Amino acid sequence: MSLSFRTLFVLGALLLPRIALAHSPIKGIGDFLNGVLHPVMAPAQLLLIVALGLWYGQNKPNQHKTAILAFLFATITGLFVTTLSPLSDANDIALTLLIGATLFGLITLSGLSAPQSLFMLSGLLSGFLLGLDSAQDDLSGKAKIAFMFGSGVGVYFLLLYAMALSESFSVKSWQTIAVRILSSWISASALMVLALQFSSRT
Amino acid sequence: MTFLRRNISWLLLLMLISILFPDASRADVVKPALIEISVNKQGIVSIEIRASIEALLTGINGRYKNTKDAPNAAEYDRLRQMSSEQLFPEFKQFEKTFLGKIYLEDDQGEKIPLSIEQIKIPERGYTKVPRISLIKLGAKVDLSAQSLRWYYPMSFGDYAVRLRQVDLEKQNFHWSEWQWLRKDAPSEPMSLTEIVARKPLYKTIANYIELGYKHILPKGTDHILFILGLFLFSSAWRPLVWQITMFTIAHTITLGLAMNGIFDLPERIVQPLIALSIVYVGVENVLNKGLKNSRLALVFGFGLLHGLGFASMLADFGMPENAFATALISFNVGVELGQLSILVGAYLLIGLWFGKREWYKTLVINPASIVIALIAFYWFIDRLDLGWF
Repeated sequence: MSLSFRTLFVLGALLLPRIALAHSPIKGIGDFLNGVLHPVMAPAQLLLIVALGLWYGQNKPNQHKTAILAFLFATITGLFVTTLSPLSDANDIALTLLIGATLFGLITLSGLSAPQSLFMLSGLLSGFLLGLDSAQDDLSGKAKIAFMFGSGVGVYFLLLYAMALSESFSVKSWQTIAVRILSSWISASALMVLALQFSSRT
Repeated sequence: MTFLRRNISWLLLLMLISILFPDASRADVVKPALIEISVNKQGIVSIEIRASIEALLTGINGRYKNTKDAPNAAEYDRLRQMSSEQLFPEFKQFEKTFLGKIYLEDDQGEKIPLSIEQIKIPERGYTKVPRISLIKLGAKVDLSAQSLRWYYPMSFGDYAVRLRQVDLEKQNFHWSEWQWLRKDAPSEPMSLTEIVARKPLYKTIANYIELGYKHILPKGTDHILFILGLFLFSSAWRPLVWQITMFTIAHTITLGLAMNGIFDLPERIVQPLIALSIVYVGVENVLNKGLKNSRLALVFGFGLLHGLGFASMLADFGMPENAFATALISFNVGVELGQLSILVGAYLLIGLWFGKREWYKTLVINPASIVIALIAFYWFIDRLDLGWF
């Protein structure tokens, strides 16, 4: 087993339990801030958003600007849907997010140019799934609204941070290589967590 | 029109959210009770408690930043809608419990019997701010008593208490400093026989700076959104500095005028206008084509309004008689520090990362400004007190 593979395995194993704990709030910081931090505390969300942001950032703004607005729209819709009708098994959504993170990581890694429609589709699907995955059934009333609002803000700004970072690393060739390496690690980590998830199910 | 075409889809969605989740932006802040104890030479004690009877009856206290956060918020709202005649019998039923929970004790630890002499409940008025009623208590203290301590349980909320002291030599009355209590414990002893040493100036300064700061962070959601709105206007420092300077000068003017009793406006007018000023800032951020004098004039005008809002809040907390100017300036410094914290935070989290990006306006300024404007628009309607929400 190579060093890289062992590192990935450890990383994946470390991330795995976080999926179950993904919705555990931090005490004392309030519902809104807990919502903002939610995508950072949920590894599947974090991997997907960072993978998507890195991919968008490697492309020209006119290619992804509309896709990001679509992402925002879809996130709000997802939050809405999950508030009105909570999902029975959020774990399946988390697995879908991991598949998305793997795919987006691979697209960035490959450096292939994607059609405009793919940007749009990725934004819409990812945003909607992230919204759905941000359900917080333990909360109700104003606390729930504050959390969901915070989640929307957190998801959106995390995407922008990842995109800004990637954009800053798109000038020189070594920078794009660095982004590709990071994306490959995201894909590999997501894949590892997926594999561990499936193996734990069987 | 171009703006509308570009943003109409999520503009509509955000409006829908604001309609479906109206409670997210209510702002009926729980205020502390103000208690003044006067003792005359014959030992007759008169205690005036200015507090929200609705909050007392429902157990909504300082733990809740907003009455809507409390589990029995609906009951509070029901009581808040009552006329003074309707609310009076509700309090009469609670009177015994009320007297059983508070006490006044002398330096020997003797509890002094208290009785309710008068209850003054104002008419319903503007229901978006708490109705402050007056509860007058009477008692008789032994002339040998050297000092008094007051207890008001934490379940009734934060409070401030002061005592009118007698200067035997000069035959004058003097108020002691306010004691702010945010814990379930009796006040410090308040002397009946000597003028209590004045609080050191640095303590007054520190107290009022803290008060001003906390009024912005974390309590002043509307002011936070207004400052964020100013920040989002432009990523360049010059327009921001100009706007903040105009806002600061303006709110300092009206804060000073209102606190000195020279000029004031009813909250019924000020609060909706403050909300409207935030709507304006949010909308103009989206439509803006650069800093114009008209924007600066409007920010100045909004600053005047916000100053009146600060004044109404500060008036609730009372001012020290012999350090009025110091307290006022300190409060203002606290407000400025609060504003500065928001700007620094916004710069570190937003400006530094996205300020120079090509997509800053489309992906950051526009969405954030529209959210700010929508929340403020809801506040505006809510604060008009039309009974819609």
